[in-house]
Amino acid sequence: MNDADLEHALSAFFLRVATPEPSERLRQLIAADRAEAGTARRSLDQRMRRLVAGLLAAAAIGTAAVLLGGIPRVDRTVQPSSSSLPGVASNGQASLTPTSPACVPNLGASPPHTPRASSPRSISTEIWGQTATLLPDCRILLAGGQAYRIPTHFPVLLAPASSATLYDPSTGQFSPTGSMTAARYMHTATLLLNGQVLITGGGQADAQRSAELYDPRTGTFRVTGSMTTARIGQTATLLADGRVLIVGGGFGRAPLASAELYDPATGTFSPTGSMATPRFGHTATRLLDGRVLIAGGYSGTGPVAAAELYDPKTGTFSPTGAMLTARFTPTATLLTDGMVLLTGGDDSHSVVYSSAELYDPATGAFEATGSMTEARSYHSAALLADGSVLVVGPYGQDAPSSATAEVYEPSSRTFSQTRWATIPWQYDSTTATSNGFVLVGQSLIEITNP
Amino acid sequence: MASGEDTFGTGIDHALTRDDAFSRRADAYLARALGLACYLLGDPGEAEDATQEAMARAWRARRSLRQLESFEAWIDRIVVNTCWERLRRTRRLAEINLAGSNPPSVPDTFAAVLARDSVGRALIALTPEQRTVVVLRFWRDLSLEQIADRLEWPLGTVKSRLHYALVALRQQLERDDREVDR
Repeated sequence: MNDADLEHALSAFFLRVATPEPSERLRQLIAADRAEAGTARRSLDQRMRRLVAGLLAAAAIGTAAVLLGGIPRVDRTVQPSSSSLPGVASNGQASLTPTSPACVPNLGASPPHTPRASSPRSISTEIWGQTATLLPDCRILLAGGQAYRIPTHFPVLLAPASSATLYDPSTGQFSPTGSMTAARYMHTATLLLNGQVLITGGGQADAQRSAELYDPRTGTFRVTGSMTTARIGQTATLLADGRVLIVGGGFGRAPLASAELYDPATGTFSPTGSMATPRFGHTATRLLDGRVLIAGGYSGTGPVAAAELYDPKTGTFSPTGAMLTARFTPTATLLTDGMVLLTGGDDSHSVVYSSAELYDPATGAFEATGSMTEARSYHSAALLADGSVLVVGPYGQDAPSSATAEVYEPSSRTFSQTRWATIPWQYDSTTATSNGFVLVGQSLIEITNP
Repeated sequence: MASGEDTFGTGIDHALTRDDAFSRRADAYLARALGLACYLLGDPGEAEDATQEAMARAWRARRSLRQLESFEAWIDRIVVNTCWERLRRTRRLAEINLAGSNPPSVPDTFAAVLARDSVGRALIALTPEQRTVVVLRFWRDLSLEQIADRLEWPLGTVKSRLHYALVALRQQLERDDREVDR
C-alpha cells in the first residue's frame, strides 16, 4: 500500500463513517452549563431580553406593519378602508399593495384564536428572525427564521430555515409553501406591486447577498439578482415606482451606511446613495411624498438620534432633524396626516424607553408626544384603519411575564392601554395587525378595547 | 466567516451580545466537536461527556477568545485537550468496570462501525496524539500548519507524528489484509 492508497483509504473511511449528531440531551446539558456558569455582567433576564431583542428584531421590526391598512378592527365599527396609506411600512420590510382587500380572520377558527397555554414550557422550539408578509389574497407568508430551543431558560439556536409557511386567516390554518433557495434569518420580505414577494439577504452562517422572489400564485421561490453587499438586519422599503430601497444592516458586523435599489423590471440591485450614518436596527418609513425617513438604529458605537431622508428622485440621502432621543429598534409608523410616530426603543445597552415622538416632514423636525404606558423595545406597531396606532410590546424594561398592548390616538396624542387575551411572555415574533389582532408566533390573538 | 470584518472582539453591546454570538457559534460547531471527540475517544457516550465538558470549558474561557475568526482553532484545541485528559484518566481506570456510568443517549452504532472497519480499527490502535493528527488532517481536512496551530505543536512535530501515524496505519492495514487472506 503506497502513500496515495493509504490517504485515499483514510479519506474514504471518513466519508463513509458518519459521526453521531449531537443529541437533545447533550444540547440541554450544554445549555444548563452555560446558565449555571452565570452571566456575570447582567442578570439572566436582562441577557435574555438582549438576546430576544436580537431574535425579535427581524420579525418584529419588519413585520409590525405587514398587515397595515385595509382591515377594520373587530371591536370598532370602522369599515375596511383601502385608502389607508398604501405601501407604508414602519421599517421597510413590510409593505402593502394599494389595493389590499379587507382580510377578516375567521373568528370561529381554532386554534389560532386560542391564547397560548400559560404553563411554562420546559423545552420548546420557536422561530425568530422570520418575516411575515401580507399577500394580496389576505394570506400571510411566513418565511425563514431560525429555530431555537429554551431548555433551561437559555436559548439554543439551531440552523436557520429555508422553509416557508402560509397562514390563511379565512380558515385559520397554517400550511407549508415552497422553500426559499437559501436558509435565512433577519432577512427582509417585501410585497412588490406585482404581487410577488422580494426576499433579501439575512443570515445563514453569515450575512448573505442573495435575494429571491416568492410567487403566491405558484407557491414557489426563485432566485433573482443578488445585492451588491451582504446584509443582515437591513430594511427594505417599497417605493412608489415599484422599486425597493434596501438600507443599512450589517448585524454582527460593523453596520453599513450603504443602500441599494432593487428593480423588479430587471431583477437586479444597483447601488444608490449612502447614509451619513451607518446603522442597523433602524426604521425606514415611506412618507406621503415618496421620500423615505431613516431614523434610529445602532451605528456601531451607540444608538443613533440622527435621521436622514432618502429621495428616490435624486437617489441621495440628506440629513433631517435629529430625534429627541437616540433610539435603537424603535417603531416608526406613518400616520394619516403624514406625520411619523416613533415609539420606544432602547439605548442599545440597558435603558428601554417609553417615550415617543413625532416627525413632521413639513418642518423636518421631531417633537415630543405622549409617552407609552410602558417602556418597550423590539416591539411592533401598526396603523389601524381608524387612524390610531396599535403598539404591541413583547416586553419592556422589566421583562414582563405577559405581553401588553396599547393604542395611540393621534387626536389626543396619548397612549392608552388596551386589553388582550393574556398570553405568557414568550420569545415569539409578534406581529400587530390592523384589524385588532396580533400574530404571536403562530397564534392569532384578539385584542379588545378596555 | 469572513475574516477581519467581524466585530466579535470589539465589545459591541447590541442585540446579540458577544456572549450570544459566542453561543451561536459554539452551537453551530457542536456537531463537529462531537465528531472530533468520537474519533479521538472511539466511544459515543464518552465523546458526548467530553464534548459537554469541552463546551463548558469553552464557555467559561470565552472572554479569552479575542477574534471570532480564530474560534474554530481555539475550540478545537479545547476539545482535543479534553479528550486527551479523558484518555489519560481512562488509561488509569482501564481495569475498573464503570458499570454505573450513564448510557450514551446517542446510538452506539459509531463504535460498532469503527470496530467492523479495518481503517477504524487501525485508527483506534494509534496513540491519541497520532490519531488526533490523522483525524484533523483527513477528516477535518486541515493543513499541517492549521494542525500545528490547534495543537500548539511545532510544525516539525506535526509532520513527524503524521508520518509515524501513517506508517502505523499502513502496517496495521497490511496485517489485516494478511489475516483476511489466510
